[in-house]
Amino acid sequence: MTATIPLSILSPTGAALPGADPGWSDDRVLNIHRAMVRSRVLDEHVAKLQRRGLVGLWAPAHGYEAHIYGALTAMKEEDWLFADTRMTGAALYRGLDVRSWLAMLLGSGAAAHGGRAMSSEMTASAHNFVTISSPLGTQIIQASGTAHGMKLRHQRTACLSWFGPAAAATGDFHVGLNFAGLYKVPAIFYLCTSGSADLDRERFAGEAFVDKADGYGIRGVRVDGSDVFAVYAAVADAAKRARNGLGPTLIEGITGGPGGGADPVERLEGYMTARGIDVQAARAAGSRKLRALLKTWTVELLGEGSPELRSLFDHVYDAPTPQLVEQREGLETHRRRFENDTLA
Amino acid sequence: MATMNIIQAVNSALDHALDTDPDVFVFGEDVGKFGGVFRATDGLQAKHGEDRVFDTPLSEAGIIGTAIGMAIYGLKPVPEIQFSDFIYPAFDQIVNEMAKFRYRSGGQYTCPVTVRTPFGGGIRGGHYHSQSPEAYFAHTAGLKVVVPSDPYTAKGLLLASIDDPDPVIFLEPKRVYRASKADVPEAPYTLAIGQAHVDREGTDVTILTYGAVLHEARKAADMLAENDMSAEVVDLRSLVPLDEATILQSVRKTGRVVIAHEAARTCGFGAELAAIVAEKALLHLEAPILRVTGYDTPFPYTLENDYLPDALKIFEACETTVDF
Repeated sequence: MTATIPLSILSPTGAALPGADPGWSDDRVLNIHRAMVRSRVLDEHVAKLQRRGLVGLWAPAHGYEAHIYGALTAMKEEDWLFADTRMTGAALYRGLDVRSWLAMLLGSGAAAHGGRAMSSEMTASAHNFVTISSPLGTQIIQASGTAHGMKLRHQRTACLSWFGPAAAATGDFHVGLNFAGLYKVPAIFYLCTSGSADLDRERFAGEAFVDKADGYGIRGVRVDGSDVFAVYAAVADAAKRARNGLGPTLIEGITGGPGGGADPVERLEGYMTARGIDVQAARAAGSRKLRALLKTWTVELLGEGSPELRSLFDHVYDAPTPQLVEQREGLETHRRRFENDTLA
Repeated sequence: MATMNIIQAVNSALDHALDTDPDVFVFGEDVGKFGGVFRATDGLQAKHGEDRVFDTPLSEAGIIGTAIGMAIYGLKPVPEIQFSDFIYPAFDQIVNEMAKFRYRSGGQYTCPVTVRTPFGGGIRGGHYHSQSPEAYFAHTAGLKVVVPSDPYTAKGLLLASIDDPDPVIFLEPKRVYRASKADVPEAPYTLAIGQAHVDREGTDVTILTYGAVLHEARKAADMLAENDMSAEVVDLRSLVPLDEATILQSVRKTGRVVIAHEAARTCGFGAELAAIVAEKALLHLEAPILRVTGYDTPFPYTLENDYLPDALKIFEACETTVDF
């Protein structure tokens, strides 16, 4: 069941491999480049906020841009996404506004989740971007379940779940792929392997992660995960199969490319340069506005302060239980009493 | 009205939900073709089709993870976990995912899953077919924990759980699955989740209980009556949300409390009940609050009747509080 498709479309320096030109228009190339450049801008911005102590745990998207944006470009708006913690930028790509993204990053009261979740645990249901969850592997089964729902409702849509080798070591990985294969659901399981043979060997004794697909009776595809065109091709093909009722695909995207170390953005830019596109201008155009927005809204959101105290008790249930109402009133009364006191 | 046992009442509720709501899906191990090991889903696949009622591989994490994926997508899954003893492989999915989806997404995603699972001992099921895991779930914010005690509550509470916008752990008292019979409306109806029921009125002592133990409490109340003691029996029906008002009203009237459940004593749900009574009705108490529970041992096989709370143990505890 493991499919033979081109592992790479670009050489490590970005030249199109013989007979493998992606055949994209300049506009399409510029769009995906813009998305990848913006992803770098987000990483830089978060790193600055981390140094100021404003953001806690955070996994950057750096090096994963082809996994993220190659796959996203191949998915449609009505397809659902189960993202990894590195992939919050995918919500922006899908149409979430920068202010809402920042509000969640900062845990501000203006955040869609009321500041209840950690920086990377973002949510954007309007864009079919499912709440990111820190437990690893759980979403693999859920993605199979959502895809199962799509199939039961006879929708021609698909579900994409990105995860890493750590999640692939969980029992949930096995269960999710087993269920997905059995019910032939329209799901794409996109595994970003580390690209380091040594590191992967610490997690898995087999030859290649993608070989696991055979055992579940689902299609397996291995792709150069720093080649955005190759990722696009693999995901587009998997999505088409999913929509046509041909079932799930496990894609092994090798981070850093099969040789390791290739940078997805530089690689795309090598290709763009060879094609005569002004990379510096594209970079500046892709990032200028985002940088300005991040700067402005960070200041504004930090000025807004913490979420309202009582919101701590919202959204536990559809309506608060009597116990929650009592606890909320207790905390508010307590805080009012000690309004002017601070603990040493 | 029709005379039904709990299995038939559950089946009737599921049948009705499948009939009226195209978003309802019933699935689990052996629930389809076979109709469930306890026959709770008997005939449903034949009637509603293999899409609506289907068998799953043996993986509780898979069953619940699938249900979560469907629920956030807008469906209303009603998965079955064959025995609550086997729910633990799904614990992560239930506690970290299902229970928190609404909270961590600020209400953007909700998870209206009703997890049906038989619980409790008394069927010669040993360690792994007898457990009462309700406290684990009652301890987790975001879950509702509902426990019917007879056919009438089984049907009404199950339909209410399926309608509920939040995830519900629906614990079915399997010991009385068939033994408990009652007249149940054939038409659909719901019973409010979060409302306890005064099963029997009394004046000397309040017995707080739920599930199969309700039937032991009723017997104990009869024995107490024969000995000139009047017990009020409260069937909690729902542990989360908990109907404190009904509990406290009864305690203020009787001044004595005995709590009875099958689960082990330490950190059992009875501990929460005792704490609430102590916090909110201390000055009404005439005697210490007593608990009649399973013991802090794994559930035993041969000596299960010694492990379980029964009418005699409840009788004795009530007598102790009255004589205090």
